[in-house]
Amino acid sequence: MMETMPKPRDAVAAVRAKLLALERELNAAVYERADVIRGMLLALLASDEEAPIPMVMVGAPGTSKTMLAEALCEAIGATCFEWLMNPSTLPDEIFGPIRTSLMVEKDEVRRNPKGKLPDHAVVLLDEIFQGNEATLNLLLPVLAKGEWFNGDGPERLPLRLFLSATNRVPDVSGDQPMLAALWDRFVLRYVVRRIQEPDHFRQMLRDAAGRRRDGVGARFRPKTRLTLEEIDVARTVVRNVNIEPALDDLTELWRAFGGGSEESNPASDRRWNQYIAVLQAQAFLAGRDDVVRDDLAVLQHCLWRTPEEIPTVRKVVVEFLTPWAARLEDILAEGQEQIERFYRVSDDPNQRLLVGGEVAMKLNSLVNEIKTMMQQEEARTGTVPEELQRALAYLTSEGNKMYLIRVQDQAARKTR
Amino acid sequence: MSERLAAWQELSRLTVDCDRMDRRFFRELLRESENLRRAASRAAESWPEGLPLLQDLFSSVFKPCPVLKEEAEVRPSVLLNHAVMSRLIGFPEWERLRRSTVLDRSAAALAAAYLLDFLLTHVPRDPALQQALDAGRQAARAGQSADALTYAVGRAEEAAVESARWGTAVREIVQRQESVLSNTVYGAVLKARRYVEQALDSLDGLGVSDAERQSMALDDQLNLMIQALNPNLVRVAQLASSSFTRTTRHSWC
Repeated sequence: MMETMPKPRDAVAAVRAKLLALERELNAAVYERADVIRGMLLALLASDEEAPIPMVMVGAPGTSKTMLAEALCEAIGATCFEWLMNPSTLPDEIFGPIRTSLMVEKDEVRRNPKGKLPDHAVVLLDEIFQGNEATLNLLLPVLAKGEWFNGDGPERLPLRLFLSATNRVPDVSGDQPMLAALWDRFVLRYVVRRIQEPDHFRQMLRDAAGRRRDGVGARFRPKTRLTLEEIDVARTVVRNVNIEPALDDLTELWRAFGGGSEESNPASDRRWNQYIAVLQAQAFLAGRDDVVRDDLAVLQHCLWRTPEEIPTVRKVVVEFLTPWAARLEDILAEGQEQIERFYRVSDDPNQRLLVGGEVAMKLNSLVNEIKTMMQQEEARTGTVPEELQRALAYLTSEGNKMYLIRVQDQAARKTR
Repeated sequence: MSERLAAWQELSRLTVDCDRMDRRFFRELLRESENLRRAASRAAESWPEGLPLLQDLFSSVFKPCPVLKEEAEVRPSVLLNHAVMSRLIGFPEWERLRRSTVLDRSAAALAAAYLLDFLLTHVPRDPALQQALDAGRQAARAGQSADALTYAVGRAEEAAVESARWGTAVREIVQRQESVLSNTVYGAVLKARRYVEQALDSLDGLGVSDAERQSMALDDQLNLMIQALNPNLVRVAQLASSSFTRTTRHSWC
């Protein structure tokens, strides 16, 4: 039977489905790395030939950074140039040796890049900031424009994805100012921590034992497979995702970070431009043709400059996207305190009647505040967040329980 | 931090039991009302722990079910506040005052500001109570040092002990001057009740309903009530008919 040729839109949907399947597979294999895994997919989809979106993973050794990069490489059928950098790493090790024959015969300085960075679609440089100045200077055009200098002029690279890993963020405002330009080129910045949840840790050990038993080794081999051509199809679609619906929100967020102020705004105009590609990729993975406000959440992994800035950046982004979140946390704490106060006096019906009146009034005011927040959110986004609904249901139900107790108390008092 | 110091730091500076909502509500009131901020600032200048006293006074007349903490639950620096509050809530006049103020934020604020003003004016006039104020100031100063020295445990404990010593001095003076303090507090609550009742009655006479008043910004309400006590009622009528700022507020009442 002849197969129907897939329509372009179907083909794109199929690529998206594969990418999401790969994401699920990686998340099932490596715990507590959902953000980083999403970041790698974004870097892959957002990068252009002429404008790579490099990603750096900051974390201690042994936190699955390399494993994830290798797994992604394998899934997209790309060869990965992987190198551990140190201060004595020579440019030759990264870009290939200089062809001495050309130098002697034609007086040309050209490298032989075979098997080196310029020969690969995916690059993973471990401890990149440990590299020496000569090597790092040669890397700058790779990160900035996806090209390298070989001989007389720049040459385009077949680069699809540039990943890097580092133990620590360079101190660009302190003793490593020479690394500022390089650090600035990393659009996506993810911090990778060790496993935190005991259940995840236990499962990780069980998985390791399983791999040992099956003799598959530590390397994770994903079942989902894509081709570089499929990735290129997806990237074409990503480039056309409409950013207009999010422009107002982006401008508002830019202002929340200090607008044009060089001191307070952590990102330059160039970086804000680069974020567009990241947001388009995020919208694509969500199955949308438009960037929407919620997509901006990913910018918390783009906007920080130093590890100290991470909590503040996160707070600004989260509060921007969910202005009610912080207040809701307080409301629940305040409500909980009232509920506990009521039950603390549960042995004494008279006290309970007195305290209960005040507690009921306070819970009622919290419930009304949540209702107002729900109305505002619905007017703003068209939906009511689940957290607000849950909080409302919780406080209402606790208030009702207390009301019944008070009614019983009153009835008992009348009988007496 | 030692357990002893931690326990000391747990002691409250408020003598009327307040939960998170009460504290937030009072913070919001202060933010909203220039009148209350002025009262708080005057209290902070001339009374040890004057701001907590203002909040205690407000809570005692606003909350439907105010509970006075035990002496052992509060900081030594607020023992004078505790002495005032424990006497205040013992008077039937206080219950009468509360009929006009419970859950009415402007009436309660007016009453609290009046009570505070009365205490700030009359307590320092009595030499014996003046001593209690001085001892209270010393206790507050030592208490602040203990807070600031949290990470120098030994010195912080010393400061906490010193604060407690001054607190004991406050307690002794108050016990010796029981009748003076009781009379002063009684005078305060008696006059505050009359003052608030008159203000509300005058507004009622001018046709300003409670609901109408309570929909105004807090300072507008306070100014209106203060003006209502002015014989020049024409001015009041003008104020009442002018466009006051309506507020949307999240309170718990």
